[in-house]
Formats: sequence, C-alpha cells, structure tokens
Amino acid sequence: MPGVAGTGAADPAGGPARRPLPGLGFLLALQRLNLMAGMAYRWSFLSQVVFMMLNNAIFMVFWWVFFQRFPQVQGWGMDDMLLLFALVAAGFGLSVTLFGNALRLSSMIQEGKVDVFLSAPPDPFLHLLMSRMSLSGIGDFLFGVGAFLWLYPADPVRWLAFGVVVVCSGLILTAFWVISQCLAFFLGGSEGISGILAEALVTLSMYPDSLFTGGVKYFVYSVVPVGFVAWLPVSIVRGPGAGPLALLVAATVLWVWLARLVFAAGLRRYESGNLIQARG
Amino acid sequence: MTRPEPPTSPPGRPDLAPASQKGGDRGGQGEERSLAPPPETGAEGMNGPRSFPGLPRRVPRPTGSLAAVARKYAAIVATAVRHRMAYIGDSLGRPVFFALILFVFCRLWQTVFADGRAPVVGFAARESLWYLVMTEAILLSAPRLQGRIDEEVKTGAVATLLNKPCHYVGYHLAFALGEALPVFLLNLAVGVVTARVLIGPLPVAPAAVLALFPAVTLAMTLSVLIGLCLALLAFWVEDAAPFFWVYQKMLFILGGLMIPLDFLPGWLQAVAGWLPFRTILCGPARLLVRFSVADAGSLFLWQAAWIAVFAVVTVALYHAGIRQVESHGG
Amino acid sequence: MIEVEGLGKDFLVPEKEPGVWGSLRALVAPRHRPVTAVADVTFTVAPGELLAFIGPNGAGKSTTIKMLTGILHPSRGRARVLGFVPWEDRQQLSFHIGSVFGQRSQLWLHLPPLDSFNLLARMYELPDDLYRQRLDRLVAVFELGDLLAVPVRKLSLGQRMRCEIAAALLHDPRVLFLDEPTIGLDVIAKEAVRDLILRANRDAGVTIFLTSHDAGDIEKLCRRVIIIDHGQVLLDADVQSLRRSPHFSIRTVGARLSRPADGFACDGVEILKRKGPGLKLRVDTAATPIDHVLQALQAYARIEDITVRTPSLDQIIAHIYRQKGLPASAPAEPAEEDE
Repeated sequence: MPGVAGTGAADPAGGPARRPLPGLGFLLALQRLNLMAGMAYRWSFLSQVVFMMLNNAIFMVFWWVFFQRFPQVQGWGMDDMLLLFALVAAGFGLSVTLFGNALRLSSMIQEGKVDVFLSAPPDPFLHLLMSRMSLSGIGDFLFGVGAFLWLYPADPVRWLAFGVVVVCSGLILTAFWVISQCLAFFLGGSEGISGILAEALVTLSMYPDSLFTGGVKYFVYSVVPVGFVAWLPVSIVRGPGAGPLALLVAATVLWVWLARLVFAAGLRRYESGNLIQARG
Repeated sequence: MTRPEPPTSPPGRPDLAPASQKGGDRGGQGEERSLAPPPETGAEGMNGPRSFPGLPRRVPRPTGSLAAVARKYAAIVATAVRHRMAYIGDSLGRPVFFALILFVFCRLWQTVFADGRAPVVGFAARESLWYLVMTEAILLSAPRLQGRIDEEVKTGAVATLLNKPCHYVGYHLAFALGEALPVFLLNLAVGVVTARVLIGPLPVAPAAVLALFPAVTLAMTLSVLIGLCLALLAFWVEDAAPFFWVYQKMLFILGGLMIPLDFLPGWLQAVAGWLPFRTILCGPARLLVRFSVADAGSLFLWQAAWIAVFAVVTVALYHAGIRQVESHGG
Repeated sequence: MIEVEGLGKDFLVPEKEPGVWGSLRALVAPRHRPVTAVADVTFTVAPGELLAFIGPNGAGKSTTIKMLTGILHPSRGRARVLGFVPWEDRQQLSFHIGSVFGQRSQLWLHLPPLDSFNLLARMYELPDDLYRQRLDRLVAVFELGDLLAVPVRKLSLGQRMRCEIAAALLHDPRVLFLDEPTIGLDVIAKEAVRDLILRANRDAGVTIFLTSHDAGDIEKLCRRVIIIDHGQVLLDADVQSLRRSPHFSIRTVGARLSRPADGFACDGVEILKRKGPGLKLRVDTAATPIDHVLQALQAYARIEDITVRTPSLDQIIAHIYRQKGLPASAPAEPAEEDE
C-alpha cells in the first residue's frame, strides 16, 4: 500500500489532481467496516477462510501426486512448486482482501456503480478498490504464509524477502486486473475479456516457468506479467539477491503507475459521457 | 369445507364455447375496453358483456401418466437448451480458458514424456492431453447451480415451484441438463480442435464414441445432482459456496481431472474407486482414450448407483429445507 | 371457494447487534426471535369474486397468499381452497389454481414468452389442440401478438406482467392468485393490467385473489376489499359501501387562482389552508360531488393550477384506526417479506 500511495502522488497523465489521496485513517476505517460486514455472516466468514485454505491444500495434493510419478520436471520439484504456490496464494490473497473490487470493476463500470465513488470526497481509485473485501482472500493469504513457513521455518532473511515479494506480487496482480477491467471504460461490455485476462494470469502463474519457451516467454514477462507475479519472486526467495529484487520493485512501480494512468484515462472518458453509447 | 369439490365444471361458471363457434370475428383489438369500475353485482358479473369469448375450457384433468410426465420434463430440457443458446455468446470466455489450460498441459506432458520416459499404463503425452480434453469439457459444461439455487433459497423463491405440478429437483435437473448440452458441445469442439492442433489426432474406437453418449449423460446427471445437493445446503448455511470449492477440488484429484487416476499411488486409487467423483470425469475420459467393454459396463453400473444415492439425498434435503423455510420465512 | 379461519404464521428471524462485538457474538451464538407475520386472519371468498388483499409492506399479504397456494404451512388456523387444504394437497391443487408472484417470474428471461407458454402447457399437461385454442384467445385478449417472439428481458415491466398473467391463465385455473400485480408499473401499464385482471374475472369467470399496497387497485378493480395491517384483518368490506364512506371518498384539492382566495366559500367543503391566491380544500365526494367544487371555484375566479389528491393507503388505514378508537398505529414489525 505505501507503494501505491507513493506513485499516486505523481498524478498520472499530467491531469489536474482531482482530490488528495484518501488518508490512511479513512482507508483503515473502510477495511474495518469491510471486516465487520464480513463477520456479520458467521458461517460465511469462517467457512470462506477455512475452506479456501483447504482448497489450496488440495491443489498441492495434485502436485504431490504428480511429483510422486514424475520426480523432476526440468529442474522443478515439489518444494519449488510449494514455494511458487505459497507466493502466488499469499500475493493473490493480499490483493483480493485489500482490493476486493479489483475483479469487479468491469461490471461496476457497466452498471454505473462507479458514480457513487465519483461523487464522494476521497480519491475514487483506492476508495473504489478497497470498498469490498474478499473473505476467501484471507484464507489464501494464510495458506501462503503457512506453506512458506513450513518450507523455511527459521530463515529470517528469506522471511523478509518473502514479505517484500508478496507485496510486490499482490500489487502487480491488482494493477493488472485493474487495467484489464478498465477495458470496460473503452469497450463497454468487457466482462468476458477482462475475466479471461484475469484468469489467464492466475492460471499461468501456478505452473513452472520452464514449460514456457520461445515467444511465449516474452509474452509472460510483458503483456501478462506472470513472470513478475510468480517466477521472479520465486527466484528471489530461493537465493535472495539485490539485483532481481530491484527489478521486481521497479516492475511493481511501473505496473501500479500504469494502472492509475489507465484508470484515470477511463474515468475521463466515463465523465465525458461517451460510455452511454457504448453501454447501449 | 370438508370434501374437495369435484375438479371439473365448477358451479356458477359458464362454459365458454370454442372460438370457432362464437365471437370468432371479434378480435382482441376492437373490443370494448371498459376502464369503468366493475358492476357491483358479485358473481352475476360473469354474465355481463364478454370480452373473452371463445376461451376454450379444459375438460380433461391431468392424468399423471408416465408419458405426460416424460413429456413434461423433456419440454423443460428442450426449453433449457434454447434458453442457454440464447446467451451462449456470454460464455465464450470458457472456451478460451479451456484452450489456455490445454496449452499449459500440452507443454507439461510433452516436457514430462520428452526424454523418452515410458508411457504410464498406456498414457503418454498424447493420451494424457486427450484425456484432459474430455474431463475438462465435462467439468466446464456443468452448469453453475450454486448461485441460482442460493438466490432462490434466500428470496424464498425456492418454494414457488411447490404450487406447480412439477417437482423442484426434477425441474432443476432437467433445466441444468438442458443448459449443459449446448455448452458441452461447444467446449468439446474447442477441445478437439485445440488438441489436434497442439498434439495431433487420437485414434478412437467407434464403440468408444457410442459408449460416450450414455457415459457423459450419466456423468452430467450425477454432477448436477451432487451440485443440487450442495446448493440446497444454502437452507442451513448462509453461504454454500465453500462446499462447491471442496467438491471441485475433490473432482480435481479423486475425479482425475488433470491426471488420470492410473497415475495415483495405489492406495489413493483404491480410495477414489469407492467415491462418486471418478465416474463423472475419469470414467468417461478413460473410455475415450482406452476403451474396453468391461470398463464401460462397470462405469454405467457405478454411475447408475451413485445417481440413485444422490437423487434420494437431494430430494430429502429439499423437503427438509422447505420445512426450514416454514419456520424462518422466505 | 376459499375459506380461511384463524390463519396465522410466525417466523423465526435471526437477531444481530451492532458493532464488532455484536458481530462476534452473532458468529458464536446466533439468536432467533419469533416474529408474527400473520396473526389471525379469517375470511371467505365466493366463486367469481374479485377480492383485493390490501395492506402496507410487511402487513402479511404475501405470507397469506403463500399459505393459500400451498407454499407455506401455517402456524395455526385452517384454510381450504377449492375444497383442498393447500399445504397438504398442493400438487392436486396446483392444476386448479394459477399464481403470479412479482418476485419470481414464470417466464424464461432469455427466451420469448411463447417458449415459456409452450413449457407451461406441457407442465400442466394440456392437450395440444386445447392449448392452441386457449393460447390464441389469450394472445388476442391480452394483445400479446407482437410480444410473443421478443425475449422476455427486452419487454417492459407492463408487457411482462401481461405475459405473466396470460401464462397463469393458460391451464384454465379456477382461482388466480396475484401477488402485487401492479407493483412498479407506470400509470398506463397499471390501467392495462387492471383492465385485464377485471376481464379475466368478469368474462372468463376466474375467481381472483390479489394483494396490493396501492389503494388505486381497490377502486379500479374490486367489489370487495380486505385491508390487512400487522397480520390482522382491519376491514373486510364491500367497495361500494366503502366508496361512500369517508375512508375513500375524501379528496384533497389544491388550487391556485387568478385572485386572492380570501372570499372563497362553498357548501360541503372544508377549507384547510388559504394563502394569497393559493387554496387547499378537503371535500367528501360522497356528499359533495367534485364537479360541484370545481364549478364553485370557477365561478369565483380563473383556475391557474389545480391538483386533486386521493387519500393514500396509509391515510386510509390511519383513518380506520381512528374510527375504531385504536391507537393510530401499532409498532411496525420488520417488513421482511413484502419487499
């Protein structure tokens, strides 16, 4: 979150600064409200958290079965898969917990639900993204942290590296989702393509990078940033190094900046009323 | 107030002659459309001017015969097929996702079997990928009942079928099967084309194709019943979604979604054998890749048995749930 | 046709307390509280009647209609519809009654209504030729010709309701239950739907039981009305006699005249407010025709603007409470059912 606030200060596209970014106090109050709303449904709350952890564990069973039969796939073994999954789950969980609306932007834009946020005093970007909390995300996050601690029970340097890469990974995920969902500003009904892009990123990030060679390799480090969400973080945690870490942080800043840029451009289009025709 | 009235020709209600006999020339358009308050005459009002001339009365009452019931549910399936076709464009994301998964697994299996590794029980890269085509096509086509049922339970609409001559479970089963059919065909087409392009064709026995029709239909029926069963848990829990996640993951592993059950360690194969999940995904897909009459026969029997079990459970859950609505309101 | 005696229904609703602590407590130990949706309702409906069940949101209308169609078991009391106990013989009863619930459409959203009609014909096991004939007539009377091929989601609310009612009449029910058939419709669509309900009753002889919270439905439609509030029958009366009673006959007239209204007076008219050229009157139209008032106004000055207001259902109910010498309104129950 500090990363977002930092990049947000340089308002994108040189446009007039709309409103100051919402204060930390407001955002905390928002998250507290989200959490309370979630807990109002007791079964939902507990079950979503617990079952999501179980859900991820079962996915690991698949890899366990797989590696029982085929112990090595081009240098990737069970421990590497577990680390990859721990990272992606924690990053994903962080993102959907804090920015629960990131994956719903497209339909919100379509249904005109963005209006409420435009007319409220805080900056609409974070206010909008943080106005919902996905409870299952808490389960993802806890699973990721748990799996990581199981792999590295006493390794403070790696813990630190893990913390940093998870935040970066979560922010890049969120930024990518925001950009893909913002297509709705320009295309009207974009739930289909936005959904595919979001799912593609998450799906690809759950498999070893050695499967992707040739032209695909460039694709997964650029258009769909799987490399930055999953594989680069894994290599950083495996062997902490300053170079790759700097690269990841730079990629994070770039993606978050891009997301704000696209969102701001989309909003201008939205405010101009051009979307009305597109909605048809 | 004690005995039911005879079901036909209620007292005080004139039979209306068929359209051909009278009023046939009076179209709906030009008729008097009085907006005045009704004549305050009670039942005699019926003898006033008629603007429903020739609305034919029904004389026979329902037979409840097997044929009529079959026609009833067949009509629901047919309507659901048309319904799903009407918005099939909305779900074109699924096939794209499907193709993506096939691409990833094509790379995975090719990598695994690249360095001359021996096929596992007859499965090499090609067989493993075609197996996945079938399992994913079934999985991705199973209608998502959860949201629909959940909403019906929450709004109390779940009870409104109670006063229709149609059972809730039967209605939703027919509805879901009808909706699944066009989606399955679409997914299968996408899967077949993608797999052919990625890894080449798979030789299939004609008998296998023949056996796949009942196998997939039964698999889909079982899948819908299990889905209904879980969705109906919404009567007791605020959110039944978690059960679906677990069920889905069960299908992944013990149903053999991504990896044929033959690849599992022996003890896990034994566990999976006694559970229903394999008859939904692995069973039909194995028929496609490695057909045998014995396997097909055994699969059909297991499918039928599990369908019977889950039909009973689902109906029981539904009736228990309706009693729950009684006390908590809808 | 419909006989109801002492019918009542209680629900258990979960209780929640505000704040984080309340949320946590609800998480651990949820509590339920019984709420009476329908307290004690008794009435009968004769064959061919058109009865309106009127009341504000949460009064128990929907719960009553659900009990009468067999969807809910009552907590107490008895009821028979066409001689059947609805919640015991609901499958048999279902062939003889039709129902339209605002919240659940019987039409398939993405398909034209014709597909839904065809399905309903199968569901109610209608012989093909009879179905054809009935459909043709209903299409003519309900003027559905142009709508039959349009997907339901593209129809207006009023058009949809016309299709819903036609769908409910397809299998030739003897009683038609309509839950809020005019809710959300604009004035013109409301009139059209009321007209069709009226004709189904008068011309096809279908007994109709409808709920509404719109006082306009009473006047336009019914011979008899039952007003229900807090799960109890407040009034069961003939509309004809009601119309003459001050519950319904009072009109509030607001007018702006071409000159100051100080000197205006008229027999049978109570002047509520006078301010410059503005004027607010109360008229009991049972005693003084509205026409009479308008003439008096025109004789006094030129009318620049005028509004005539009918009493709202709330006002009527408040009026009835006053007349019965009851406290104006009991504490409101949560309106969890008639949304």
